[in-house]
Amino acid sequence: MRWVMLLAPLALLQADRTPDGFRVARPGHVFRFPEDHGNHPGFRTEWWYWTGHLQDEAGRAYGFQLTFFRQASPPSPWKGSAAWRSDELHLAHAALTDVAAGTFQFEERLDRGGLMAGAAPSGIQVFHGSWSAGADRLRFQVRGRSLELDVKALTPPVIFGEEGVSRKGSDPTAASHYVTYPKLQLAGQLRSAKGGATLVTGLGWMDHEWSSNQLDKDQVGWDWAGIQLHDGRSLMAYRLRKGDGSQDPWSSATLVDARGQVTARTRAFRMAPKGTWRSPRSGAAYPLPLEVSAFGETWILEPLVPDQELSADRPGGITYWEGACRVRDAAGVERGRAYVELTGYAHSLKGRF
Amino acid sequence: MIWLAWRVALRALLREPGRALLTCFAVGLGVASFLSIRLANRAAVASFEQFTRGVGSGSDFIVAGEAGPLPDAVITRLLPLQDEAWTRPVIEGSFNRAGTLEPFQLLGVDLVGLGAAAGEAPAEPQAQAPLQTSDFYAGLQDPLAVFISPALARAEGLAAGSSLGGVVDERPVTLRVAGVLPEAPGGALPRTLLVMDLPAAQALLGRPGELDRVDVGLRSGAAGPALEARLRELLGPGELLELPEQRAQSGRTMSAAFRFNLGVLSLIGLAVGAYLLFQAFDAAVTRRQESWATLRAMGLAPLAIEGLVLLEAGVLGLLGSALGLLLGWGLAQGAVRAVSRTVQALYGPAAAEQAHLARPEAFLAMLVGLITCLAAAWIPARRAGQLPPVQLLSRGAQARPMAWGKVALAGLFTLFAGLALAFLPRLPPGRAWHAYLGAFAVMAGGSAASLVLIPLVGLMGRRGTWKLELALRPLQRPTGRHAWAVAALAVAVGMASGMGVMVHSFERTVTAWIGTTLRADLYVAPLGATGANSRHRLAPELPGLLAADPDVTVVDTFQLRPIRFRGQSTFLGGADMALHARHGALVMAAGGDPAQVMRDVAARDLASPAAIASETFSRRFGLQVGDLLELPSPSGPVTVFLRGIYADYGNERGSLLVDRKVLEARWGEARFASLAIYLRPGLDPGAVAAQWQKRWPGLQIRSNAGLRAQVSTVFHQTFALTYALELVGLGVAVAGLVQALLGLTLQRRGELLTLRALGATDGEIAGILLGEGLGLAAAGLAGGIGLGLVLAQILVRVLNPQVFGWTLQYAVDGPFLGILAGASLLGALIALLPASRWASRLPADRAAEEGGA
Amino acid sequence: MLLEAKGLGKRYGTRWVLKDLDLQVAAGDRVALLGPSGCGKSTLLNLMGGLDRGDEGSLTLDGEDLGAVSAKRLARIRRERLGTIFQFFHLLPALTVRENVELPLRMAGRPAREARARAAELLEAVGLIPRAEAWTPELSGGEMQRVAVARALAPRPALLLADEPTGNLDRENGESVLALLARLTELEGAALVLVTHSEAAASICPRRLHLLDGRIQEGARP
Repeated sequence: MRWVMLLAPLALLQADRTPDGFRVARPGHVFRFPEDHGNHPGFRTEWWYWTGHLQDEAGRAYGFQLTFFRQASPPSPWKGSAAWRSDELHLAHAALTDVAAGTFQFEERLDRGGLMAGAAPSGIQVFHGSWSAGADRLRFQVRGRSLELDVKALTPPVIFGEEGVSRKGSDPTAASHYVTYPKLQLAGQLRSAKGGATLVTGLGWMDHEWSSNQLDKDQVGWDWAGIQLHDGRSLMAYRLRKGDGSQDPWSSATLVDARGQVTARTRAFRMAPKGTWRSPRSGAAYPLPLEVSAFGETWILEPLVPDQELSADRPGGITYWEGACRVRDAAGVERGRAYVELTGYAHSLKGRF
Repeated sequence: MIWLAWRVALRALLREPGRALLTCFAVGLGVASFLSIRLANRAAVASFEQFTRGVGSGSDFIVAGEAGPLPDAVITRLLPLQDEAWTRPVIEGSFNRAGTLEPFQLLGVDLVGLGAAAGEAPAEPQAQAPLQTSDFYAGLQDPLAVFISPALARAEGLAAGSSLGGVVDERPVTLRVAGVLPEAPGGALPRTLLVMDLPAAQALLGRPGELDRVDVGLRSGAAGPALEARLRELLGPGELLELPEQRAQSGRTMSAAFRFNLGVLSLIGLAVGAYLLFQAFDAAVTRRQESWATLRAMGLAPLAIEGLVLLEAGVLGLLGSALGLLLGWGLAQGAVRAVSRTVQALYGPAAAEQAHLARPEAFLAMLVGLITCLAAAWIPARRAGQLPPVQLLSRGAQARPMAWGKVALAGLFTLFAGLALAFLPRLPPGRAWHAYLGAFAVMAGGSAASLVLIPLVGLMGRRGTWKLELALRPLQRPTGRHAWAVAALAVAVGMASGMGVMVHSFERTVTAWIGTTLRADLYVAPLGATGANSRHRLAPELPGLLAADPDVTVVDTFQLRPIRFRGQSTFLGGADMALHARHGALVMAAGGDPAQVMRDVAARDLASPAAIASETFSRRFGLQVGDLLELPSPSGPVTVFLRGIYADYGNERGSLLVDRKVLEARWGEARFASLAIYLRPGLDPGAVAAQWQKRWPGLQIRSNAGLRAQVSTVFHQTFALTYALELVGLGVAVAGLVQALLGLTLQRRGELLTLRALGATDGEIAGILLGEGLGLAAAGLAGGIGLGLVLAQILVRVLNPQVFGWTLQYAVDGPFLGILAGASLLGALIALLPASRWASRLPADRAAEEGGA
Repeated sequence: MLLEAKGLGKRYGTRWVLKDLDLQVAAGDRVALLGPSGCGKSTLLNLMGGLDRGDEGSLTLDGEDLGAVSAKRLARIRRERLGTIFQFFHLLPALTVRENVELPLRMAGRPAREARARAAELLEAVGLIPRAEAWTPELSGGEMQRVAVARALAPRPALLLADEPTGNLDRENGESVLALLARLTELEGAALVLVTHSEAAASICPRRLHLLDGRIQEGARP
């Protein structure tokens, strides 16, 4: 049987790649910054994702989301040109929630990598058309309004998962490398379509994830929450949902202290709907408000504006709910702010990621 | 008086179907030639416009290079506008199908971005990405994938997976069909359109990093003027902002001159037809004058009688026009191909296959036919109305001799006025209305002046046999009928001979020019370079490779770069001036000895270059030797000194030539449009050509003789339509001559019956009638040829230089005119023979019924 | 008095074709105008037919001075009160026999039924009903002139003018046409002025006038 044992390392080596040749997130990866803030073209999918809660001088509240996705094309000898890449497609979403007005506006852009969109190989430097994000700057426009924010990280980057890998299912390839800045100080200008500008300040959250396979075979979507508590702690929880609606055991929740250190991690937590919001467009029924119970505490996440659904009008696009919420405890006292992302309710995400 | 109208005017037509049909046919032919040219023109222009517009109309602005391609990086500069506007980069190239060498337009667009723009601009007809019609990645990841138009897919049975073989530049390539473009709601996509992903197209065309234009469109909610202002700020030197309409317009204006000429020509059929119709109606009134006079005697008002005649004319006009619609549509299908071929050869891809009969065109044609008929019937109608009541109708020869002297004099005056109008005014280049009006006046006046020839021919009969004298005697006192027949023939022959002289002058000039300028043994160009707008180019290494061949002594290069100069599109060419001064030749219109001029241009340094301009170029922009011109280049304006003006009949858009090193240094043009090869003496160019053809299948290699032949073919192709239209005009005129003869016979009835009573045979009478007809034909011919020579002066000396800009040497082709005269006479003879025989046999008792003595 | 000429004169250039002409035709009269050719018979007939105006004197029809009325009125008169028969028939070849007879009534605006009935009546009278739908060129000379007679009588004219009606017919046809003229004008109560140089033709007219040097000389009343 010795020759079988010789094969075992080979088997491990094989698990390094997906069948079509993309790298797999493996435990033991040593994170190096600023390199790992940049692009990882060896992996199939990657995103840089910012959300935040803002208020202007008059105290009006806003929420925003800015996401840059990169998706690799199936491997092929023809890669296009450096200015017009055929091996890399970029999708970007920008959304602005105006709580006072009760409105939610979003825009989607789809372009190929090259002159139109791209990410630097090192450091946070992504752009898509006129939207851009750097380590200390965010800039984007939604339906005539534009937002320019200076960004300052209040904690060092947090690496989620075990041994540097955030597992998403029993399949060892269903895993990602996941880096987060749970607290970002934001200050900048919100300009309206007519040209008037207001100063805004607030708190933001940034996620950077890269993988070649985000979902296991029988998973249809996920619920994700990034909670920023007034006491300085942050909580990130994601629940992977199976086809029958049950929670995949590989779901996880992580608690981070005020200084950015991970204090607790668990797979035993609960996310349950405290109500339902049905989308008039897609007909999906989202579990909102959402109740999260973990680490002995319970929080209820209430959307600041009910309709914060990003619906894709392209065939092949993805429809999901991503919105600014307030956090209340079981007694109803407001304890913080959160962003919640609910995918797979309008349609299954199987095979997309 | 409907009862009367139906019976006298309309039912009578049915009882004389032959005459009615003849008139209908005359109208129909005129309308058909007019309509077919209009339809063909329309079709060619529409398809040509589609190419200048390109895929995806619906943009609000176009960013283009003034003097060459745009760099990729321009997109980055435009990114800040993304909130207000979408952008669509485009690169254009040529692809020619294997075998037929059918030219296709290849467009490279960002297929990913196209889909994104779709959501933003719902008015975009073709922005619905091909993404919807095929596997998304198939178009993106295959560097030879193309999307074809539905028209091509249907016509050739092609679909995703088929292959399309052909040439790009000088390389054979096989493209793979990835899908079929969705049909655009705004209009059918041209058959010869191929769409490719942008980086793949850039690679295929050997132009990495280059764009030909960027279409820019407003997103909803954005303001046009504000965007325009921001765009202008962002553009750099050598980049300009255009509106899509301007582009379509430039396509239209380019071929406008050509199409207008064709349109004017198409009126020949109608113009000559009008003469014929007048005769027909006049004859009809005379034939029925007894009835009209009887009705007058019975108390019918003159206006009512005029109305009846006009009604008859109107009905014939409508029927004839309807016939003309059918004929015209049929002729148009043939004409479309000819027009397209010419437009393609001169201007760029034009792939019209069918001419559609749009309702406005049909309506216009019917209207034109109807109006021509009514106009032609106007005077005869008045004459009918003014007939005296039948008792007062004098019997015998009603046709009073006409005042031909006065008419001829007025005609001569008009002719000179026309000449003055054409030659005296000095108009800016491109405008030629004075020439057209002058030509019209010359034609009208000349045809009237020709009348003086009728009595002259009549006098010639004095010295002949009794038959000849009897034949020609009526010509000494010509009546209206004689006059119209001769005038019509003079017009037709005049136009035919005038155009003939012009074409001949053109041919002579071009032949002489070719004789001087084409000196090399072989001419090399990309295989697909079939038209002026071909984008195929030869690789930079090719001249070196050919020069290395021991059989080759000299390789003379020619480069071409489309630029915009003073707002118009034209060409900037690059030649090796020093080399050309030694081996080649140009014909200089100004500037001095050609070789010296070229040496001077070669000797200038890059900082202050010189150029020579083609005649059309210099006339178009009003330039003279010594002028300083500012040309746009990718690195900013370049000032060139105009050292000379040369003759060039190959390109009617005009071009400017600089030395090759200037074009390479300041415009970055490294590729070649064509090469002229000089071989060692004693070698057979054909053998060398065959050898090279095997090695480089993507090249077209022509010997000197072959190129001359090709030029000649294109030349004649260009004028094919002209020849056809002239034939139509001549046919109509001869038909008119026959009609005239029949009328004249009736006029001479009394005399002829007397002759018969005196013992003349049928044959002799027929001979007399034939003689009269031929006498008229001779007068018309002579007048027409004289008129044609005068007309040709206007065409050669005024029209061509004004409209196209080149100088032609006036050359009269004696043999051609002789053949024209001979053929016309022969045609007249053939037509008149049966007519005269038939006319001579008109039975005697008909005379009584027709009211004769 | 139906038609009265007083001092009527007409000249062409300086030549007086008619001079100081007096003439009276009563209703129902049948008058023959005789004279050598060129004496002005046709001119006088034209004046009577309202086709020309005299230069001197007056010519009245039913009290209306033909020299003074408008051209439009003259045309009207020609249409409704006069009928003319010509030497060369002058039928319209575009119309059938019946239509030729209907023509004057149609031109006067009479209803179709009335015109058709009147035409049938007249064609019956001239014996050409079987040829009613034929085209006029198919007819013989005599038949054509009979159609002309029917046509002239169609509007029930007060005065019928005949200009050499038998000039183009052979003797037999001529006689039958003349007999027809006599009978029908009597029947219809129309006056008849017959211009001719044939004695035979004049024989149907009780009154004969000779025109000489532009003046009338009344012949003997038989």
